[in-house]
Amino acid sequence: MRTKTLLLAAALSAAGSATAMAQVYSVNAVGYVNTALKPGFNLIANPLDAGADNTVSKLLAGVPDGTVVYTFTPGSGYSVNTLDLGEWTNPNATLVPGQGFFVRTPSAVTVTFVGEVKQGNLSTPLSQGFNLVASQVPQAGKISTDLGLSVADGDLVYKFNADTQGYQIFTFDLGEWDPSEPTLAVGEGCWVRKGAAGSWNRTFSVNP
Amino acid sequence: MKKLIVAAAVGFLAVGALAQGQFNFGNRVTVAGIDAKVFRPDGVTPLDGANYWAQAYVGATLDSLAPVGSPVNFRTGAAAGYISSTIVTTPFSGGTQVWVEMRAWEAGADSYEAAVAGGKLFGKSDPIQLTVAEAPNTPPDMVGLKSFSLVPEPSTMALGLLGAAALMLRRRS
Repeated sequence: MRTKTLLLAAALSAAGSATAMAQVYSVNAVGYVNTALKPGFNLIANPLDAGADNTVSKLLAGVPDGTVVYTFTPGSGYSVNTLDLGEWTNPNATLVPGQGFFVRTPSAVTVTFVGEVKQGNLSTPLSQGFNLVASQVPQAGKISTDLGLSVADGDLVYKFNADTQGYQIFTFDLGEWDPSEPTLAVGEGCWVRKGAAGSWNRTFSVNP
Repeated sequence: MKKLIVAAAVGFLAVGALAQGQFNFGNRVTVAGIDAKVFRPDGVTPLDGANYWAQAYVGATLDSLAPVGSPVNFRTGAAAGYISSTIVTTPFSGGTQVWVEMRAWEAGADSYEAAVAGGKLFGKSDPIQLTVAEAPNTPPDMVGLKSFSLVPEPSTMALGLLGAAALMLRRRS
Protein backbone atom coordinates (compact mmCIF):
# COMPACT_ATOMS: atom_id res chain seq x y z
CA MET A 1 0.00 0.00 0.00
CA ARG A 2 1.63 3.20 -1.17
CA THR A 3 0.99 6.02 1.16
CA LYS A 4 2.01 9.58 1.04
CA THR A 5 1.71 11.16 4.37
CA LEU A 6 1.96 14.72 5.32
CA LEU A 7 0.85 13.93 8.79
CA LEU A 8 2.40 15.16 11.96
CA ALA A 9 5.40 16.64 10.21
CA ALA A 10 3.59 18.90 7.83
CA ALA A 11 0.29 20.64 7.54
CA LEU A 12 0.04 21.26 11.20
CA SER A 13 -2.61 23.85 11.72
CA ALA A 14 -2.90 25.55 15.01
CA ALA A 15 -6.62 25.58 15.22
CA GLY A 16 -6.70 25.48 18.90
CA SER A 17 -7.58 27.89 21.51
CA ALA A 18 -4.80 29.58 23.34
CA THR A 19 -5.56 31.67 26.31
CA ALA A 20 -3.01 33.91 27.85
CA MET A 21 -4.23 33.00 31.30
CA ALA A 22 -3.94 29.26 31.25
CA GLN A 23 -1.37 28.91 28.50
CA VAL A 24 -3.29 25.90 27.32
CA TYR A 25 -3.44 25.29 23.63
CA SER A 26 -4.10 22.43 21.33
CA VAL A 27 -2.82 21.62 17.91
CA ASN A 28 -4.86 19.91 15.28
CA ALA A 29 -2.95 18.00 12.65
CA VAL A 30 -4.58 17.78 9.27
CA GLY A 31 -3.29 16.12 6.19
CA TYR A 32 -3.96 13.55 3.57
CA VAL A 33 -3.09 9.95 2.83
CA ASN A 34 -3.04 8.37 -0.60
CA THR A 35 -4.02 4.72 -0.58
CA ALA A 36 -3.46 2.71 -3.74
CA LEU A 37 -6.09 0.05 -4.34
CA LYS A 38 -5.39 -2.98 -6.48
CA PRO A 39 -7.94 -4.86 -8.57
CA GLY A 40 -9.79 -7.31 -6.34
CA PHE A 41 -10.02 -7.14 -2.57
CA ASN A 42 -8.09 -4.59 -0.49
CA LEU A 43 -8.23 -4.46 3.32
CA ILE A 44 -7.88 -0.82 4.28
CA ALA A 45 -9.03 1.81 6.75
CA ASN A 46 -9.81 5.50 6.81
CA PRO A 47 -6.72 6.90 8.56
CA LEU A 48 -8.02 10.45 9.12
CA ASP A 49 -11.11 11.90 10.69
CA ALA A 50 -13.14 13.86 8.16
CA GLY A 51 -15.98 14.51 10.59
CA ALA A 52 -19.32 14.61 8.81
CA ASP A 53 -17.57 13.57 5.61
CA ASN A 54 -16.59 10.13 6.96
CA THR A 55 -19.04 8.60 4.53
CA VAL A 56 -18.55 6.09 1.76
CA SER A 57 -19.62 8.52 -0.95
CA LYS A 58 -17.30 11.29 0.23
CA LEU A 59 -14.28 9.20 1.18
CA LEU A 60 -14.33 6.94 -1.86
CA ALA A 61 -15.25 9.52 -4.47
CA GLY A 62 -13.54 8.61 -7.70
CA VAL A 63 -13.51 4.83 -7.38
CA PRO A 64 -14.77 3.03 -10.49
CA ASP A 65 -18.28 1.78 -10.96
CA GLY A 66 -18.65 -1.74 -9.65
CA THR A 67 -16.61 -1.05 -6.53
CA VAL A 68 -17.94 -2.83 -3.44
CA VAL A 69 -17.26 -1.93 0.19
CA TYR A 70 -17.59 -4.63 2.85
CA THR A 71 -17.89 -3.53 6.46
CA PHE A 72 -18.12 -6.04 9.28
CA THR A 73 -20.04 -5.97 12.52
CA PRO A 74 -19.29 -8.71 15.05
CA GLY A 75 -22.36 -10.78 15.64
CA SER A 76 -24.14 -9.74 12.47
CA GLY A 77 -21.49 -10.10 9.76
CA TYR A 78 -20.91 -8.12 6.59
CA SER A 79 -22.76 -5.14 5.17
CA VAL A 80 -22.20 -4.66 1.46
CA ASN A 81 -22.24 -1.29 -0.25
CA THR A 82 -21.97 -1.21 -4.05
CA LEU A 83 -21.28 1.66 -6.42
CA ASP A 84 -23.48 0.98 -9.41
CA LEU A 85 -24.22 3.46 -12.18
CA GLY A 86 -22.64 6.17 -10.06
CA GLU A 87 -24.75 5.52 -6.97
CA TRP A 88 -23.84 3.83 -3.73
CA THR A 89 -26.32 1.45 -2.14
CA ASN A 90 -25.91 3.41 1.07
CA PRO A 91 -23.96 6.61 0.38
CA ASN A 92 -24.13 7.76 3.98
CA ALA A 93 -22.63 4.63 5.50
CA THR A 94 -19.74 5.75 7.66
CA LEU A 95 -16.11 4.65 7.58
CA VAL A 96 -14.37 5.99 10.66
CA PRO A 97 -10.76 5.76 11.84
CA GLY A 98 -10.19 2.47 13.66
CA GLN A 99 -12.61 0.59 11.42
CA GLY A 100 -11.14 -1.83 8.88
CA PHE A 101 -13.04 -2.59 5.71
CA PHE A 102 -12.64 -4.38 2.42
CA VAL A 103 -12.83 -2.52 -0.87
CA ARG A 104 -13.25 -4.68 -3.93
CA THR A 105 -12.48 -2.68 -7.01
CA PRO A 106 -12.56 -3.80 -10.65
CA SER A 107 -9.45 -1.79 -11.52
CA ALA A 108 -6.53 -0.12 -9.80
CA VAL A 109 -7.31 3.27 -8.30
CA THR A 110 -5.81 5.59 -5.70
CA VAL A 111 -8.03 6.96 -2.95
CA THR A 112 -7.06 10.13 -1.10
CA PHE A 113 -8.21 10.44 2.49
CA VAL A 114 -8.25 13.97 3.92
CA GLY A 115 -8.89 14.93 7.52
CA GLU A 116 -7.56 15.31 11.02
CA VAL A 117 -5.30 13.04 12.99
CA LYS A 118 -7.26 11.50 15.83
CA GLN A 119 -5.96 12.55 19.23
CA GLY A 120 -6.75 12.05 22.88
CA ASN A 121 -7.95 8.86 24.52
CA LEU A 122 -8.81 6.66 21.58
CA SER A 123 -10.69 3.41 21.99
CA THR A 124 -11.92 0.82 19.53
CA PRO A 125 -14.16 -1.88 21.03
CA LEU A 126 -13.16 -5.47 20.34
CA SER A 127 -15.63 -8.31 20.61
CA GLN A 128 -14.80 -11.90 21.36
CA GLY A 129 -14.06 -13.45 17.98
CA PHE A 130 -13.37 -11.58 14.76
CA ASN A 131 -13.04 -7.80 14.57
CA LEU A 132 -12.24 -5.86 11.38
CA VAL A 133 -10.21 -2.96 12.69
CA ALA A 134 -7.25 -0.61 12.20
CA SER A 135 -5.15 1.84 14.16
CA GLN A 136 -7.06 5.05 14.81
CA VAL A 137 -3.78 6.93 14.58
CA PRO A 138 -2.33 7.23 11.07
CA GLN A 139 0.97 5.64 11.96
CA ALA A 140 2.86 2.65 10.61
CA GLY A 141 4.40 0.21 13.04
CA LYS A 142 4.21 -2.94 15.08
CA ILE A 143 0.65 -3.56 16.11
CA SER A 144 1.27 -3.85 19.86
CA THR A 145 4.65 -2.24 20.44
CA ASP A 146 3.98 0.87 18.38
CA LEU A 147 0.24 1.03 17.83
CA GLY A 148 -0.92 -0.03 21.27
CA LEU A 149 -3.02 -3.13 20.70
CA SER A 150 -3.23 -5.16 23.91
CA VAL A 151 -3.28 -8.87 23.31
CA ALA A 152 -3.75 -11.99 25.39
CA ASP A 153 -2.52 -15.50 24.82
CA GLY A 154 -4.32 -17.07 21.90
CA ASP A 155 -5.27 -13.82 20.16
CA LEU A 156 -4.69 -13.72 16.42
CA VAL A 157 -4.13 -11.07 13.76
CA TYR A 158 -4.90 -11.70 10.09
CA LYS A 159 -3.39 -9.44 7.46
CA PHE A 160 -4.58 -9.42 3.88
CA ASN A 161 -2.28 -9.16 0.87
CA ALA A 162 -3.97 -7.54 -2.12
CA ASP A 163 -1.26 -8.87 -4.46
CA THR A 164 -1.90 -12.51 -3.64
CA GLN A 165 -5.52 -11.99 -2.52
CA GLY A 166 -4.64 -14.13 0.50
CA TYR A 167 -4.13 -13.90 4.23
CA GLN A 168 -1.16 -14.06 6.59
CA ILE A 169 -1.72 -15.07 10.20
CA PHE A 170 0.05 -14.00 13.39
CA THR A 171 -0.58 -15.65 16.75
CA PHE A 172 0.14 -14.27 20.20
CA ASP A 173 0.87 -17.51 22.00
CA LEU A 174 2.71 -18.45 25.17
CA GLY A 175 3.61 -14.82 25.75
CA GLU A 176 5.07 -13.96 22.37
CA TRP A 177 4.14 -13.31 18.78
CA ASP A 178 4.50 -16.22 16.42
CA PRO A 179 6.08 -16.08 13.90
CA SER A 180 6.64 -12.35 14.54
CA GLU A 181 4.76 -9.26 15.65
CA PRO A 182 2.66 -8.02 12.73
CA THR A 183 3.15 -4.52 11.40
CA LEU A 184 0.49 -2.30 9.89
CA ALA A 185 0.95 0.41 7.30
CA VAL A 186 -0.89 3.73 7.48
CA GLY A 187 -4.48 3.10 6.48
CA GLU A 188 -4.16 -0.68 6.56
CA GLY A 189 -6.95 -2.73 8.10
CA CYS A 190 -6.68 -6.17 9.66
CA TRP A 191 -8.66 -8.79 11.49
CA VAL A 192 -8.07 -9.01 15.23
CA ARG A 193 -9.48 -12.23 16.65
CA LYS A 194 -9.90 -12.11 20.39
CA GLY A 195 -10.45 -14.89 22.87
CA ALA A 196 -12.24 -12.41 25.13
CA ALA A 197 -13.84 -9.04 24.50
CA GLY A 198 -11.77 -5.94 25.15
CA SER A 199 -10.77 -2.76 23.40
CA TRP A 200 -7.89 -1.26 21.48
CA ASN A 201 -6.97 1.75 23.60
CA ARG A 202 -4.40 4.38 22.95
CA THR A 203 -3.71 7.87 24.17
CA PHE A 204 -2.18 9.96 21.43
CA SER A 205 -1.23 13.57 20.91
CA VAL A 206 0.69 15.39 18.22
CA ASN A 207 1.80 17.96 20.78
CA PRO A 208 5.45 17.69 21.67
CA MET B 1 -9.92 -9.37 -32.28
CA LYS B 2 -7.84 -12.49 -31.65
CA LYS B 3 -5.52 -10.48 -29.47
CA LEU B 4 -8.47 -9.23 -27.45
CA ILE B 5 -9.77 -12.73 -26.91
CA VAL B 6 -6.33 -13.95 -25.83
CA ALA B 7 -5.94 -10.97 -23.52
CA ALA B 8 -9.36 -11.62 -22.02
CA ALA B 9 -8.53 -15.30 -21.53
CA VAL B 10 -5.23 -14.47 -19.85
CA GLY B 11 -7.01 -11.97 -17.60
CA PHE B 12 -9.59 -14.56 -16.65
CA LEU B 13 -6.90 -17.11 -15.84
CA ALA B 14 -5.04 -14.59 -13.72
CA VAL B 15 -8.16 -13.81 -11.70
CA GLY B 16 -8.94 -17.50 -11.43
CA ALA B 17 -5.46 -18.25 -10.18
CA LEU B 18 -5.86 -15.68 -7.43
CA ALA B 19 -9.26 -16.89 -6.33
CA GLN B 20 -8.19 -19.94 -4.33
CA GLY B 21 -9.56 -21.08 -1.03
CA GLN B 22 -7.39 -20.90 2.07
CA PHE B 23 -7.38 -22.34 5.56
CA ASN B 24 -5.37 -21.92 8.73
CA PHE B 25 -2.84 -24.75 8.99
CA GLY B 26 -2.16 -24.79 12.72
CA ASN B 27 -2.36 -27.28 15.55
CA ARG B 28 -2.59 -24.72 18.35
CA VAL B 29 -5.41 -22.21 17.88
CA THR B 30 -6.76 -21.91 21.38
CA VAL B 31 -9.57 -19.48 20.48
CA ALA B 32 -10.92 -22.24 18.24
CA GLY B 33 -10.35 -24.99 20.81
CA ILE B 34 -7.51 -26.58 18.84
CA ASP B 35 -4.64 -27.99 20.88
CA ALA B 36 -3.16 -30.97 19.06
CA LYS B 37 0.50 -31.58 19.86
CA VAL B 38 2.54 -33.95 17.73
CA PHE B 39 4.81 -36.40 19.53
CA ARG B 40 7.67 -38.78 18.91
CA PRO B 41 6.76 -42.50 18.90
CA ASP B 42 6.92 -42.55 22.71
CA GLY B 43 3.77 -40.42 22.76
CA VAL B 44 5.36 -38.12 25.31
CA THR B 45 8.18 -36.18 23.67
CA PRO B 46 6.87 -33.35 21.49
CA LEU B 47 8.49 -32.75 18.11
CA ASP B 48 10.69 -29.70 18.16
CA GLY B 49 12.64 -27.37 15.95
CA ALA B 50 14.33 -28.25 12.71
CA ASN B 51 14.43 -31.95 13.54
CA TYR B 52 10.92 -32.44 12.16
CA TRP B 53 8.70 -31.15 9.40
CA ALA B 54 4.96 -30.83 8.98
CA GLN B 55 2.85 -30.20 5.92
CA ALA B 56 -0.84 -29.97 5.07
CA TYR B 57 -2.37 -32.54 2.75
CA VAL B 58 -5.63 -31.59 1.06
CA GLY B 59 -8.03 -33.27 -1.32
CA ALA B 60 -11.63 -33.42 -2.44
CA THR B 61 -11.67 -37.06 -1.33
CA LEU B 62 -9.68 -39.07 1.18
CA ASP B 63 -7.84 -40.92 -1.56
CA SER B 64 -6.80 -37.79 -3.40
CA LEU B 65 -4.92 -35.98 -0.65
CA ALA B 66 -1.91 -34.05 -1.94
CA PRO B 67 0.58 -31.72 -0.25
CA VAL B 68 -0.16 -27.98 -0.28
CA GLY B 69 1.96 -25.09 0.90
CA SER B 70 5.52 -25.56 2.10
CA PRO B 71 6.71 -27.87 4.87
CA VAL B 72 7.19 -26.08 8.19
CA ASN B 73 9.35 -26.91 11.18
CA PHE B 74 8.05 -27.26 14.71
CA ARG B 75 8.32 -24.66 17.43
CA THR B 76 10.65 -25.15 20.39
CA GLY B 77 10.68 -24.93 24.19
CA ALA B 78 7.23 -24.67 25.74
CA ALA B 79 5.77 -24.54 22.24
CA ALA B 80 7.36 -27.80 21.08
CA GLY B 81 4.87 -30.10 19.45
CA TYR B 82 3.19 -27.19 17.70
CA ILE B 83 3.85 -25.52 14.39
CA SER B 84 3.59 -21.82 13.67
CA SER B 85 0.11 -21.35 12.27
CA THR B 86 0.27 -20.48 8.61
CA ILE B 87 -2.38 -19.71 6.02
CA VAL B 88 -2.30 -22.31 3.27
CA THR B 89 -3.64 -21.72 -0.22
CA THR B 90 -5.32 -24.70 -1.83
CA PRO B 91 -6.14 -25.42 -5.46
CA PHE B 92 -9.84 -25.33 -4.55
CA SER B 93 -12.08 -22.30 -4.87
CA GLY B 94 -13.54 -20.70 -1.75
CA GLY B 95 -16.59 -22.48 -0.40
CA THR B 96 -15.33 -25.95 -1.36
CA GLN B 97 -15.47 -28.63 1.31
CA VAL B 98 -12.22 -30.56 1.44
CA TRP B 99 -10.46 -33.21 3.48
CA VAL B 100 -7.32 -32.14 5.32
CA GLU B 101 -4.58 -34.03 7.13
CA MET B 102 -1.54 -32.83 8.98
CA ARG B 103 1.45 -35.00 8.18
CA ALA B 104 4.79 -34.88 9.95
CA TRP B 105 8.12 -36.53 9.48
CA GLU B 106 11.69 -36.63 10.70
CA ALA B 107 14.19 -34.27 9.05
CA GLY B 108 16.57 -35.74 6.54
CA ALA B 109 13.78 -36.46 4.08
CA ASP B 110 12.42 -33.88 1.66
CA SER B 111 8.83 -34.99 1.96
CA TYR B 112 6.47 -37.22 3.88
CA GLU B 113 6.65 -39.84 1.13
CA ALA B 114 10.45 -39.72 1.15
CA ALA B 115 10.43 -40.21 4.92
CA VAL B 116 8.18 -43.27 4.62
CA ALA B 117 10.37 -44.72 1.89
CA GLY B 118 13.62 -43.75 3.56
CA GLY B 119 13.13 -45.28 6.97
CA LYS B 120 12.51 -42.02 8.84
CA LEU B 121 9.91 -41.41 11.52
CA PHE B 122 6.59 -40.31 10.09
CA GLY B 123 2.95 -39.86 11.07
CA LYS B 124 -0.30 -38.19 10.21
CA SER B 125 -3.42 -36.89 11.89
CA ASP B 126 -6.89 -38.23 11.46
CA PRO B 127 -8.44 -36.48 8.48
CA ILE B 128 -10.85 -33.64 9.09
CA GLN B 129 -13.24 -31.80 6.82
CA LEU B 130 -13.40 -28.06 6.40
CA THR B 131 -14.62 -25.51 3.89
CA VAL B 132 -11.86 -23.37 2.42
CA ALA B 133 -12.49 -19.63 2.19
CA GLU B 134 -11.66 -16.68 -0.02
CA ALA B 135 -11.72 -12.99 0.86
CA PRO B 136 -13.55 -11.28 2.30
CA ASN B 137 -14.16 -14.38 4.40
CA THR B 138 -11.52 -15.47 6.85
CA PRO B 139 -9.73 -18.80 6.46
CA PRO B 140 -11.17 -21.56 8.68
CA ASP B 141 -9.22 -23.39 11.37
CA MET B 142 -8.58 -27.12 11.48
CA VAL B 143 -11.32 -27.68 14.03
CA GLY B 144 -11.37 -31.30 15.15
CA LEU B 145 -7.65 -31.86 14.68
CA LYS B 146 -6.29 -34.34 17.23
CA SER B 147 -2.83 -35.07 18.58
CA PHE B 148 -0.87 -37.87 17.01
CA SER B 149 2.51 -39.54 17.30
CA LEU B 150 5.07 -40.47 14.72
CA VAL B 151 5.63 -44.15 14.13
CA PRO B 152 8.92 -45.98 13.88
CA GLU B 153 10.51 -46.39 10.50
CA PRO B 154 9.25 -49.36 8.45
CA SER B 155 12.36 -51.43 8.99
CA THR B 156 11.91 -51.29 12.76
CA MET B 157 8.22 -52.01 12.40
CA ALA B 158 8.93 -54.91 10.15
CA LEU B 159 11.43 -56.27 12.64
CA GLY B 160 8.90 -55.91 15.42
CA LEU B 161 6.21 -57.74 13.47
CA LEU B 162 8.65 -60.45 12.53
CA GLY B 163 9.62 -60.90 16.16
CA ALA B 164 6.00 -61.04 17.26
CA ALA B 165 5.18 -63.58 14.60
CA ALA B 166 8.14 -65.71 15.65
CA LEU B 167 6.99 -65.60 19.27
CA MET B 168 3.49 -66.67 18.32
CA LEU B 169 4.79 -69.55 16.25
CA ARG B 170 7.02 -70.65 19.10
CA ARG B 171 4.10 -70.66 21.57
CA ARG B 172 1.95 -72.73 19.24
CA SER B 173 4.62 -75.37 18.67
